[in-house]
Order: sequence, then C-alpha cells, then structure tokens
Amino acid sequence: MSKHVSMSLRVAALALLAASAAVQAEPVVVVNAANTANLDDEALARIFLRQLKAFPDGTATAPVSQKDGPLSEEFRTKLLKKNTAQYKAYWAQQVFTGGAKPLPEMDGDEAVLKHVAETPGGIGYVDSGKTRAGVRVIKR
Amino acid sequence: MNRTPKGTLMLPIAAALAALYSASPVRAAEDPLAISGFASLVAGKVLGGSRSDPYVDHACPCFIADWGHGGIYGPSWSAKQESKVGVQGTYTFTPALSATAQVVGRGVDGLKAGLEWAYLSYDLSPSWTLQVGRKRLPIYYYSDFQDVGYAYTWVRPPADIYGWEIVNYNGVNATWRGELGSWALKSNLFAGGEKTKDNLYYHLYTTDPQEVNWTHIVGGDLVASQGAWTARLTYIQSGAQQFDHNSGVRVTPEPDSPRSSEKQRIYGFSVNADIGDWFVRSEYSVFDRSSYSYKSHAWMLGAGVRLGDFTPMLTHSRYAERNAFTPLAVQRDQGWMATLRYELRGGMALKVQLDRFRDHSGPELDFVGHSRLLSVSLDAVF
Repeated sequence: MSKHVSMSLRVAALALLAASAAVQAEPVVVVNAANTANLDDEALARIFLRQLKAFPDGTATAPVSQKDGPLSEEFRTKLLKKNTAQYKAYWAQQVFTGGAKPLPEMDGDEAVLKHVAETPGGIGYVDSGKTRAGVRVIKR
Repeated sequence: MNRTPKGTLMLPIAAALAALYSASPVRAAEDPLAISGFASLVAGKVLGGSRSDPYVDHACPCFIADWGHGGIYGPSWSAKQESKVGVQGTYTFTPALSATAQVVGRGVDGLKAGLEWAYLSYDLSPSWTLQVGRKRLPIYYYSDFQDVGYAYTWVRPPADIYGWEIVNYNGVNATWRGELGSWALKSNLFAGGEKTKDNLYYHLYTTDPQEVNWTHIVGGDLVASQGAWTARLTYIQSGAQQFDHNSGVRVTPEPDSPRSSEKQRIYGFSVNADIGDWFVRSEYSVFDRSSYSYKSHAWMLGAGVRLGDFTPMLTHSRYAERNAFTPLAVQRDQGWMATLRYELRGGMALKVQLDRFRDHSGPELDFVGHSRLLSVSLDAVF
C-alpha cells in the first residue's frame, strides 16, 4: 500500500511538473538567418529598448514585441531586467518626450517569425521550439 | 483657495480618462496615426504648517507643489492643483518622418488645453534624429516627462528642484545615439526661445500678470547608461526678460538698463542606479542668474525598493539661493518625501506621498514656511 501511495504521489508530481512546464514560457531571441551578428545580453536589451538602432554591420534594427502575457513578462524580466510596470513606465517616458518610438506589437509567435524571416534587421522573441526557415536563434 | 469647485474638475478628467482608456485598442503596426495619452488625478491637503496668513492669494498653511504651473496646496483638500490629462497623436508619414502633437489640460489653469509638444521628427540615420517645433525644455532629468506621473515613483519630482517660469520652448533639436565601450550614449542639442503672456509661475509671487521670455536658448545634455547605471549631464544658457503685463513696465532687465535681456546659465547632473529590486535617484542643479539676481544650488537623493506591486521610496532634497536683492539672507529649505506606489493592472498606479518641508530662510525671505503635505494620486497611461 505504501508503495502504491508513493507511486501515485510520483505520478501527481510528474503531472504537476508537466503542467508547470506548459505554462512556463521560455522566450528565445530570433534574428534573420542572414544576420551573422553575435551580441551579448546588454546589446540585445538595448535593441529592444530602441537605444541601439543598428547591428554591427550597419543594418538598421527592426525589433518587434508581443502582447502582455507570460512570454513577454519572462522576456522583459530576464533580458530587459524590467517587470511589466517598469517596461510600461519606460515606454511612457519615451513616447511622451519625443524619444524612441514604441515597437510594433505582433500577434503571436508566427507573426514574429514571419517578420524576422522577411526583414533583414528583424529581431523578436518567441517561445522556445518555435521556428521557421529564414530565422536564426541568437539567444536562448 | 478653491477657485473652481472640485467636482467640475474631476468630472472631465475622469470622463476623458474613462473614454480614452476604453477606446484604446491594440493598434495595428501599419496604422499611420497613433493616439496615446496619460492622466493624473492628484489630490492634496496641507496637514499643518507655520504660516497662517495667506500667501499671495492662497490660504495657508500651504505647500508649493508645482512651481512651473503655480500649483499650491492649502489646508483643505484640493484636486485641481496638479491633476492633468494629456493626449498625444503621432502621424507617421514614412518610417523616418513623423509629426507629433501633445495637448495637456491642467486643473490649475482651469483645464485650458495647452499645446505642450508639436514637432516634426526626422531620422537622418540610425544614430541621428532631427526635430523641429515645440517641446518641453529638458532642464532637469524629469522635466520632459514631468507630466507623465505613471513614469516615475513619486507623486511629483521633488518640488525643491523642479519648476521654473519656462517649461516649453520653440526651436530645433538634434539627438544622437551611440556607444562608447560598454556605455550607451544619447545626446540632445537644442536651440530656440519661449514667450509667455501670463506666466503661471509668477502666480506664486503676484496677482499682476507677468510676461516672461527666454531668448536665444542654447543647450545640450548627455545621457550615459550601462547595466544598472544611468547618468546625465546638462547645460543650458539663455537670455531672460520679464515685463509687467498690465503696465508694460520692464522688470528684467531693470527699466534703466541698456541691455535688452539678462543672461542666465543652468547646469547640473543626475545619477540613477537600479540594482536588483533596489533603486537610487539623485540630481544636482545650479541655476545661475548672479549677474542680475540670484544663484541657486539644489540637490535631491532618493532610494526605494520594489516589493512586488508595492514600491516604497524615501527622498531628501535641499535648495539654497543667494539673492542680490537681499544680500544678507540666504533662501534655504529642505524636504523629506515618503512615497508608496502601488501598481494597478493595465498601466495604472496608485500613489500616496507625505512631504515634510522646512523653510530655514529667515524672516527676510519668508515664503510659505514649514509645512506638511499629504497627497494621493491615480496615474495612468493609455
């Protein structure tokens, strides 16, 4: 009986783990496949904050974002070091002072991958595992 | 002194906020016209202070919260001194060329909608942007987004430092962005001028309308950031003129002066750090009109911590001014601010702030005296 209990506990734990993995978004940063740049986290963050507007080879950066949600939240916290409120405050400052223009907001991973594949300076974030031809993962 | 009943102000702000908030859909990336906005509903009450007789025509004890627009709180609750709503439209002609206009209505001047920003912006290259038109004058770190309460932790940037008689300017500016080693740099160079007919700042000094002009404004700033750190250096110089509007008499330069304007210089620096959940905000500024009037030094230092949706912050500020009109006295005051910000969903924040202001100037330079202010605000962007 004790074996049975521990077995069902293990199953429950596994199910819980799987469930949490399913909601846990894991963003990766993608660029156009022709883009050979190798950038550190700070440079990538600056691109998404519109502080750095060109890749090292001179190609203009074309960053895009996604709607608020677990993926965007994870991306902002991990790479941009800003929670959603800080992120919104940053853009409020930029938008209302003639600073950087806000990023186009894409409707999901597919739209981001399409933009990045079709734009030489395209850069965005998608859930890990999502990919398509013409796109390279620059940061996992 | 409540010149308009509170209700008449709160209603249009709340209505505008609600209407714009509900009407802001997710905009398509291709839409050439982007409408956005911000609003702050701020209410304050002076809890106590040393002055009992009125200051100019304001009931006391009182607290000057917004020098630039003449916002002053008295012993009863008021929501008109700092409440404001701003709406901005940007039309994108090409990826490099856009036009932006921003209108702000303020409770303190009866919600007259004032054009704060109206400019054309052109990206010459990934590193250079040229802008022509009307903008906020970036005297201090928070000057150009002082109206956007959502973008900072306080109910308002420390009043000891912030706020002079000129808030905007008409002219040109060029912004450069680049990198130096591991630092990201941004520099803004600007030139222009500004004329005001009934200056709001002077409502804090006199009931007679004053015309204030800043001519030949030239200035620049440099912002450097790396990881947790952001630093800003700034310098501005201009000519200054003041006339009494009703009599037409020139106040600055003095009526018998051969000069057509006096010279002033403003410079300072700011250092901010964001280390994990902790953050530090600091600023130092010098306002130099010593050739004809006064020279002031002001600084502030604040620190806070982000605890989930709560952000408590404590700030200290000081101001000292030597004035040619009263050479033996020094205007000297200091403030403590305890702030608590709470994040609401969807670009809104609620703030409560307690200000303790001490005026150590002495009887010759008596302003509002000591006072304690309680203020609450609801700030939103949409």
